[in-house]
Amino acid sequence: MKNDSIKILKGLLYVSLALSLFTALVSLGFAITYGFFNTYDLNTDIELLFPITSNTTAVVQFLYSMLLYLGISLIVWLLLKIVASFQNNKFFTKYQIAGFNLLGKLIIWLSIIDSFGSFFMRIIFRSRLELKLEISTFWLFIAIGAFFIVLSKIFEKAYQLKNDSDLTI
Amino acid sequence: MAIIINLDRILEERDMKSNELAEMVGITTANLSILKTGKAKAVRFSTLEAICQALDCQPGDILEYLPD
Repeated sequence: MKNDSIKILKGLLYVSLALSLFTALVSLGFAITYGFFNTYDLNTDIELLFPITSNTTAVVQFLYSMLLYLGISLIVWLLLKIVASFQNNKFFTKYQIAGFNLLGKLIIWLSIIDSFGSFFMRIIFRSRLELKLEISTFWLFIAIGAFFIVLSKIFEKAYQLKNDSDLTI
Repeated sequence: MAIIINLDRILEERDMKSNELAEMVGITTANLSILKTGKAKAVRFSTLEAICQALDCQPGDILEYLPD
């Protein structure tokens, strides 16, 4: 991979990281506002997972949203670190293997947590039981997570082959 | 380890230093050290040929098999 494309990719990831951190911060701001200043307004147009019908629903939803965006920030930051490690043509290192593996697991766990979180919050706040079996973003993220885990296994094999090649005199 | 590298002994017999051999064979002293210490995973025929040529010996003089 050329250093220029790595720089562009790093730039894009920095923007994504900044946006997700900003969203987490805004969510925290809303949660604090609703939680401490009792600004609940029936005429509000804000709707996240469900309509905001009380201060509690607002605080829970914004805190939930903040945690999700913090998780996304962590994933983007990790991907940024891995991409940065590709600079100077350094491939198939132990750091990249561990990084891809962790990245895949984080994506899968975050998708599962989000799925369960939304499911239970719907039950609690809407008293509605919803089960979705369609091809949704959930399965897409599971596939992306699995892809990164497979990539880490491929890198692990390549690391062994590279070691063998380096030790061939 | 089953395969023993006897380079040190042959170098001593020929009164030759490692860096001289490395230069004659065309490999780095670091790689020669890997070979001498038995850390190498494989040896190319071309390297083996060059070593044999430089030391005027047979591959069997350099490599020795010892059952575990």
